Amino acid sequence: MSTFRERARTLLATPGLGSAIGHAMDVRAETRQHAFGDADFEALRQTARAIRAHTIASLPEYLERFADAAEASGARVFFASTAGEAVAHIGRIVREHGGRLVVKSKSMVTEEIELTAALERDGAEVVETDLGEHIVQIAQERPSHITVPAVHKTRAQVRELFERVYGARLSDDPAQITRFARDVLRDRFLNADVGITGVNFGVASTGSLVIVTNEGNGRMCTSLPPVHIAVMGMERLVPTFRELSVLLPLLTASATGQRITSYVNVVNGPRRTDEPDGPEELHIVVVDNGRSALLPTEYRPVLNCIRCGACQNVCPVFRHVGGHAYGSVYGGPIGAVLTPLMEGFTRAGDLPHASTLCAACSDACPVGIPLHDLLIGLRRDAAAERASRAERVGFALWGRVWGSAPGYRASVRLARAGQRLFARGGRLGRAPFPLSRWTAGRDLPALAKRPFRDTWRRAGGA
Amino acid sequence: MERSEFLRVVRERLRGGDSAGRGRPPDGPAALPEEYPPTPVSGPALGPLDESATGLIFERFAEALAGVGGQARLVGRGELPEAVAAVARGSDGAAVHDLGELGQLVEQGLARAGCSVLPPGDAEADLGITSAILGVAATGSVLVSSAQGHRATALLPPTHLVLLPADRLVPGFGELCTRLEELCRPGRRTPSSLVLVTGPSRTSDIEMTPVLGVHGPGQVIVLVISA
Repeated sequence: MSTFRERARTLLATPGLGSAIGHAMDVRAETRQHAFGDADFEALRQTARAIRAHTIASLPEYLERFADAAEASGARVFFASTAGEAVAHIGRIVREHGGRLVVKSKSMVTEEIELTAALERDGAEVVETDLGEHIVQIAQERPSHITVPAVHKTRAQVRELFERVYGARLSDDPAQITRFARDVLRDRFLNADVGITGVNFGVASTGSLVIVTNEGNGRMCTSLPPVHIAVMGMERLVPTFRELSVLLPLLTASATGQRITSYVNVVNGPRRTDEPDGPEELHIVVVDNGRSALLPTEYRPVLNCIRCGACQNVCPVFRHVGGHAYGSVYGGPIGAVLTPLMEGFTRAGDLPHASTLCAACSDACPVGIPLHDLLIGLRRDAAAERASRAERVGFALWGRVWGSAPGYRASVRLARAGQRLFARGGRLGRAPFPLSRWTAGRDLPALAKRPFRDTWRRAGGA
Repeated sequence: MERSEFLRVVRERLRGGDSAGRGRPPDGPAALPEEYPPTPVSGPALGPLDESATGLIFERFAEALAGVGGQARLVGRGELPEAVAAVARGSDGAAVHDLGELGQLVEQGLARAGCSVLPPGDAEADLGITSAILGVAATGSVLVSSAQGHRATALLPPTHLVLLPADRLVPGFGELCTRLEELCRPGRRTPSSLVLVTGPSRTSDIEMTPVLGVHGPGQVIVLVISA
C-alpha cells in the first residue's frame, strides 16, 4: 500500500498532468461563476445546509417514507448495511436475469462498493457508458475527478486508447472520438440485460429517483434494458421536490457550471402496463457502508455532501496531483475527509495532511461542509490513534517548556543561536532531524536577530 | 438486511450511540427553513398569461434554450405543418408519439418534407417527434413523460423535435417542482419516467472540449404552439 506522498511524487513527475487538471479546474470555476449569475450564493448555501442537516437528522423517517412510496409505485427496495451485502444482492438480481451484459451510468457509490469487479467475477460484462468513465475503464484506471473522470488524459492518449482497444482508426478530434464512442456504446445499450445507475437525489415524499446526466447515458440505462438497478447512498434523500428545487441547481452549478444539466431523469417505478417501453423491474439498493457510523460524531456534516466536486476544483493540492494521488474513490478535500473515516487511519491516515488548510474547499462547498475544520479534527484523531511514543514524549516536553515564560524565552534563545547553521537568506529551509521531517516540504522565516520584546522595552514600552 | 433492522441502527446512532471518541455532531436548527431564496433557475414571477405575456415568456424560453445549443420557434397552429417540414427535410424516417389533435398537422409536414413515418420507438429513425407536458422558461427545458409514448422516441434519434403548447410554459424551477410533486404521487399509475430535457446531449470529457450529441440527440428543436 503506497502513501499519498509516494503517489503524489509520481503524479507530479507526469508531464503535463498538473497543467491539464489546473486548466480543467479553471474552466469549471469560470463557468460556475456564470451559472450562479445574480443568485445569492451565500443565502442558498445556508438554506441548502439547513435542508441537508434536517434531512440527515430525520433520516429514518425519510428513508421509511421513501421506501414506502417507491414500493407503492412498483419498485423493490433493498437495504444494505455493508458494501458486501449490496454487491451480493445486486449480483443475485443480475444472475436471476441471466445478465451477461450490464450497462452502467456514472456513479460514485458503485465505485465505492467495487461493484463492477464483483459482477465481472460472476462472468458478466460490465460497460461504463459515460464517456469519461468509459475511457477510464478501458484504460483499466480509476476516475481522477468526480465530474471529469478522465481529466488526466490528453486527446492523443484517448485516441491511442480507442485505437488499441477497438482497432479503429481515429483522429485527435474530440468530436470524432465521441462519435465513435457513441456507435460502440449504442450497440451495448440496445443489447444490455441490466442497467445500473447511481442516484443523485431520492425524493422521500414520492419515492422518486432523480438522476442527472449530460450525455444521455443515464436515460439509456434507465430506459432500454429490461431491468434497472439504482444504487443509492442512504443519505441522498430530499424531503420533497420543493427542497429539490434548491439542491438540484446548486448541484449542477457547482459540479459542471451549468444552470441545469441536459437531462434530469425522474424515475418513479418500472414500466406501466399502458406504457410501450421501459424496464420491467426497478430495484433500489440503499447503501449504508459506514455512513451511519458517522451520525453520532463531529463528522456528521460530511453526510451533507451532494458529490459536486467543487471542493476538488479549488483545492491547490488536488489541482497539482489529481484524484489518483488519494488512492481511493473520492479524491480532493472531500476524499481526504471521507476516506480515513470509511477505511481507517492505517490505510488513509495521511490523507488529512494532503491539504494546506487554506479553506478554499469550505468556501466552495454549496452545502456548507466545514471541510478544513474536519481535516484538522482528523489530524488530531489520527495523532491520538497513531502517534509514536517518541512523538508523544516530544510534544509533551515541548508543551511543558513553552507553557512557561522562562522556558519559552530560553528555548527561543537556544534556537536563535542554533539557526545560524541552517538559515539561508532569512529563511529556515533545512532544520536538523527530527525537524527535517517537517522542513522537507516547507520553510519558515528565520527568527529575528533581536526579539520584539527587547525592541519594545528599549523603546520605552512597558 | 431487513428494513426495520437497518433503520433501527440508524435511529440508534442518531440518538447518540458510539462515536468512537470522535466528538459530537454540531448543533443546528432541526426544522426546514420556511422560505427558500431564489436560485439561478427560479425564473422571474410573471403575471397571468395574456397574449403579451406569452410573447415574453417564450422569448425567455428561446433565449435560454439557444444558450445551451437548442432552438425554439413560436408558431401558430396553421404554420405547424411548414415548421415541421422545415425540420424534417433531409430526414429519412421519423418516429412520432401519439400527438392527439396535432398529429394530423405533423403528418402533413412530414409528407411535405418527404420523410416517412416509422413505428414509434423505432431505433433507426433519424428524427423523433414528441410533445412535452411542460416547458421551463428560465432554462429552456421541456418535460417529457413516459405516459405520452415510447421513451426511445426522444432518446435514440439524432434530432428531437418537441411540440409544446404555449400555455404549458412556466417561469422556473419552483413551478416545475410543484408540478413534479403532483405528477409523481406514489402509485402504479404514476408515469414511470419523467425526463427534463435541456438542449442537446453533451460532453466535455475529452480535454474539456464541448461536443454535442453523445448518446442522446445532438439537436433539440422546440416548436412552441401559440393558442
